[in-house]
Formats: sequence, C-alpha cells, structure tokens
Amino acid sequence: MKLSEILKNGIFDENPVLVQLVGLCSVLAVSTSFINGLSMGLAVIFVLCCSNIVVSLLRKVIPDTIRIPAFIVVIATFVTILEMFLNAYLESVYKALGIFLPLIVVNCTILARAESFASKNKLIPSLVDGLGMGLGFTLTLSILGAVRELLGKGTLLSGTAAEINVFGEGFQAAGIWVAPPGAFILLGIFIAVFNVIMKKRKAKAAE
Amino acid sequence: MKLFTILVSTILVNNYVFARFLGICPFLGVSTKMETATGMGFAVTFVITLASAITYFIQHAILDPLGIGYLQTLIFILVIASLVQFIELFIRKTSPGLYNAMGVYLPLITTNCVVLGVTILNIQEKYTFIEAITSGFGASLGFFLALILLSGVREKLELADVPEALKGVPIALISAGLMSIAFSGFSGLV
Amino acid sequence: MKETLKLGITLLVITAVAAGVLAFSNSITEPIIAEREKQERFGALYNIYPDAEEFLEVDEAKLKEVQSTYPNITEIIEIVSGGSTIGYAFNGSAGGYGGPVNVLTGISVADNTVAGISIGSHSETPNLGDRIEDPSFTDTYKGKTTTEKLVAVASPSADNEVQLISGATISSFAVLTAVNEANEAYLVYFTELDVEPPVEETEEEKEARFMSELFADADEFTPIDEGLLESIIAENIFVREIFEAKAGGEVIGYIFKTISGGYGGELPVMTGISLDGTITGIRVGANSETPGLGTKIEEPDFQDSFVGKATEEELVAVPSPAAENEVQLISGATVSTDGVLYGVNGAREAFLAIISQ
Repeated sequence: MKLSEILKNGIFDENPVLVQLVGLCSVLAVSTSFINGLSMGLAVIFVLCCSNIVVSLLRKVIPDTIRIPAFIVVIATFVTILEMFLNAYLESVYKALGIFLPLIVVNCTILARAESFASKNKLIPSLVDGLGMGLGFTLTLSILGAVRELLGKGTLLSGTAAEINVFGEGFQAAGIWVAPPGAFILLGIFIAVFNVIMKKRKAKAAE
Repeated sequence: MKLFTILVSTILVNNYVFARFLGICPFLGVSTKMETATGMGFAVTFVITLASAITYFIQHAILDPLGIGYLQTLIFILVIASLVQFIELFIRKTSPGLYNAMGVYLPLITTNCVVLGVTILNIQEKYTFIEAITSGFGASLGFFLALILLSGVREKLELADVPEALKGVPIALISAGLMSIAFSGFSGLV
Repeated sequence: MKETLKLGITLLVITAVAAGVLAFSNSITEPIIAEREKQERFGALYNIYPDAEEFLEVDEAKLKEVQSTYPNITEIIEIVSGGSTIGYAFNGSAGGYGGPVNVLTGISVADNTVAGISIGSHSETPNLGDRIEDPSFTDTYKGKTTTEKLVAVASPSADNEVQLISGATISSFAVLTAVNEANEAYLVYFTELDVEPPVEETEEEKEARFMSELFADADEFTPIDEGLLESIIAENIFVREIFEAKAGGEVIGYIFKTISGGYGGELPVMTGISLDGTITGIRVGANSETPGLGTKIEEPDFQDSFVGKATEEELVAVPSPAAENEVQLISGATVSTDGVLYGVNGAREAFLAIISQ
C-alpha cells in the first residue's frame, strides 16, 4: 500500500474507535473534554508509533511462538516510560488520564497493529500505520471530547488558559453528557453517524 | 463490614462497566448472546480473582521492598497474560467443549481492561490481601452482571425495529448508556 | 525441551532489556516527581502559614493516640517559626457526596483559631460539590474559633459560622465535619484546656442523660402505671412512654416520650413537665431533618425557648416568643418546628390528663 493510503486507512476505513471498536474503555472515560481527549490521543500515538517501530525492527528476531508476550513487553515498556515522563513533566495530563494511562497497555489497537502490521512490514510503513491509527483514534477522541464538553459543561478547551465559555457564564449545562451515561450514548450516536457517512462515501466511490 | 462495602461498591455503586468504563470491548463483543456472556463472565471472574491475589503478593513481596514500583505495569500485565495462557491450556485439556464454545474470547481476557484495571486499583486503594481479593471478586461480579443485563437487552433488540444506522453497536451503546443512568442511582448507597 | 528453553530465555532477555530501559528512565524522572510531591504537600501548608519555617511530623505515638479517638485523622504536622510552635495542621477526611473529602486544617496556637483550611483530594460533583475548593468557601474558615463547634450557614458572620454552599450541602458538611474533628482533636490532645474527648454514647445512654438534664434534682425515673399509660395513649396519638421523675421518693414531675412526624421522618421528642405545670425542657432524639436547617431543633436556642412555658394552653411557635404559650419558630424549618410542637403539645395534653386523675 502507498504510505498515504496507509495513513488514510487508520483515520477512516479502519478507524480504531468507530470501525474496529477497540480501545473503547479509554474513549469513554477520557473523552470528558477536548483537551483530555487530545492528551490521551497523543499518548496513544506515542506508544503506538514507538511500539510499531520496535516490533518492526525486531520482527525477524522475535520467535513466532512467543511473539504476543514479547509485543506486550514492548508496549508495556513504552507505556511505563510515558507514565514516568508525564508524571514528572506534565503532571496535569498525568492526573487527567489517571488509571487509563497504564491501561493503554491493553488498548487492543496497539497489540492488534503490532500483530497484524508491524510484525510483517518494514520500518517506515509500520511507523506510518501507527501514525494513521493513532490519528484516527485521536481525532475521534478529541471530537467526542469537544462535543461532551460543549453539551455537558458549556465550555471548550476547558483545562487550559484558553477556556471559552461558549454559551456564556451562567449557562447550566446538562452534566449527564460528561458523566458515564452521556459517554455511552454519544459514542453510539457517533458510530451510527460515522457509519452513515462511510456508506455514502463508498456508494459515491462505486459510481 | 468494610468487605461488604467493597462488594456493594464494586458490584453496584462503582460498577466497573457502567461507572468506571472498564471492560467495554468484551462487553460489546460478547454480550450478543447470553451463552457466551455467561462463559466469559465465569472465565473473567476466575482470572481477576486469581490475578488480584498474585499481583498483591508480587507488589508487596517483590516490587515494594526492592523499590522497583515502576515495573508494576509491565509485571502485572505479564502475570495476567500468563494466567490467561495457563487457564486456556487448562480448559482445553479438561473441557474441550467449553474451550470451543469460548473460542477467541479466552485470549481476549488478557486485553480486558477490567483485569489490569482491578489489579492496579487494588494497589492504589491500599487494600489488604482479603480486601484485594474481595474487590477483584466484586469487580468481576459487577462485570458479569453488566454483561448479562446487556446481553438480555441485545437479544431482544435483535428482533426490534431499529433504524438502519443504529443497528448493532450504536444501539447497544445507547442501551448501555441508559443502564448506566440506572446504575448511577446506586450512588449514595455506600 | 531445548526449544522451549531457548524461547524462555529469549523472552527473559527481552524483558530484561525492557526492565533496564525502565530503570534508566526511572532514574531520570523519579527525583523530579519526588520533589514535586514534597512541594504539593507543603505548598498547602505554606498557604496557611506563610511565616512558617519548619514543618515537623508529630511523633508516631502521639499520632496513634489521636487516631484512637479520631481515626479519620491521617497526619499531624507541627508548624514552627522563629524557634517556637505556631500551629498544628491536621490531615483528615469526612464522607462527602461522591466519596471521602480530604481536608487539611491548620490551627493557630496563639489564639486557638483556625489559621486556614485546604481541600485535598475528593470526588465531589464538578461545578457543584467541587466549589468547596473555591477560596470564597475556604476563606470563611479563617480565623474562626476552635473552642466552639463550627456551624455552616448561608451567610456566615459569627466566630463559629462558616460557609454553606447551597445545592452542595453534603459536600459543605463533609468539610465542616472534618474541620470540627480536627479542632476537637487539637483541643483534646494539644492544649491544656479541659476538653473531654467525645464519648461514644448508645441511644439508651443518651436518653438517660436527657432525662437527668430535664430533672437535675431527680434520682429516679419510673414508668407510670400500665393501665394509666394505656388509657392516655388511647386518646393521644403521639405519646409512647411516660415516666415519673422522683426525688427522694417524691414525684416532682413527668417525662413524656413522644413520636411525631418531621420533615425527613420520625421525630422522637422528650418533654419534661414539673408538677406545677411548667415545662422543664425538651430534648430531640435521633432524626432525619435537613442538616443545618431542620436540625436546628437540636440546638439550645430552640429547645431553651420551651423552658418555663405553661401547659394550660396549646403551645404555638412564633418568631419572637414572649407569652407563656409561645416558643421559638425556626424560620425556614417550619415543618421540623411543627413536628416538635405536635410532640410537645401531645405531652402537654397527656400531663393534663394525668393530673386530672
């Protein structure tokens, strides 16, 4: 596949969240605001790319029978490094991601990409695949976060200095959108909408 | 008494699926049929309870005394992966029928966020050994409960007249959202 | 076998390399994290005691002693400045809406007042309960007394009044409880003041204490004759039990236990009436009235307004009680007040029924 195709694949056709339906735990929990969604997305991109790079580099070296545990070790290592550095240098992000930071280890996307792509492809394509999947994840997560934040708190970019009260100071938002139920419902709607859009695109492409 | 509080909290008030967002992937993947849901529920309960015990020992006997707490994520996930591997072999030997029925879902327990999540939370909440096992057991029961509830609903949804775009996962998620609202009514219990 | 061994070793090597990489990153990041955590702990303390020079952990034995009475206090820190102790800070917690609320209470040794408080970790509702973190809330604790129990009100002004956030009463009360506990622990264990640590009372012990308070001269309380009690209960829906208060074998009055309905549920009320027909006092038992509002029926200001009142006429509640049949009305808690009144009036009627015998 061409590199640009690999990239687009991760964002649209095989979008980890909306199509493959993996890593949903983090998606639901961390999409409480745009910044939180973005932070988690960037964290996943980091781990995904690093892991894909290492797995691709070592693909001829790791014996087949123990490949899954080996991948897990690689992923867990990068996640731990990320945890340490976030805790030291970006404490607010570390706290915002909470337990979902170590849980990146069990984000099915990363293991799946290592298994189905990076272990079978060269370095550059693997890196681009990681980037594509990561971007798909990040975009979805950030947009979902922005919507939940808007509906649930009436703000955008909350948690940063640039926080905007979109509906004005006195707006009483419906807190349910930033709570668990809102996450489930909005994600369901997102997936439905995405499916409709993708169907239309495919129909147009087929003409 | 604290054990009871932990149980009620993990099963109802802070249900791992509806309140803590853990175990969503298998939650959606396995809840299409009551049968697979039950099988998964049992397997997860066994793995989590055992993992809670083992990881407790590892944290307190190895990681803490040696000051290598940062290896927690790595070691815990390896323990869990090994446990699942071991159980898979065990079930394959003793009950091939069950092994076939569970199929691909067994290895998926490794990536079930609930398992790793519970083991890490047990340490964070500074539970004692018995409390850790109780919390693990309660978490899996809560997961089991969520699984059964949603699969019951989804079996009915299969026969309902759902708009095309919402069929499958979207409507399942929305149903889960409504259940989550219901479960949030438990807050204030403990 | 050799194959398995080779695989095992390969995995071990991979894990060992991983562990090595992690040990390296740990060595870089750990000192930074440790330093920051220390800043966090002491940052809050510096906010409360800007002149502080040293923070010392109170010794283990003393901490354990305090914890035996106040188990929710996890840490006590001595604040030193210019060579002398200027304050003590207590890290404690109380149950809030979404879980425990951690509160750091700093007390000034100089005048036994609250130097300031700092809210730690909690799980209160965003934009509602988490307003307890706002300075507009925490500042109302500064300079307040420790020798009196603090109360939370909408517009705090007195020395013992602090902020109550409307719509976030449970969160506000969590902080109040934690601070009151810290204050008490301070008075009991760190001052020479004669403050008794609270004794855990059973309901029976509490009732016995109430009875002695209503009739200080009595040495005996005996239930009245069964038949008489039954005939009174038949006419009176609130009365449950009646006791004779005796001093030296002579009856000096009666105690009536009634149960009426309040705002949040049942209201048990105890009324003491002396032989000459005046009320010696009332006590309200375990209830579910709204904290900070309906629960004002437990306070002396309300209960004292019953003392010395007559029993010939029905008692009524008014904002400024003056006449012999007027008692205090708690504004904003009329249902609770009425509940108490039903009980006391019931006691009154039962008394009249007894002396007409």
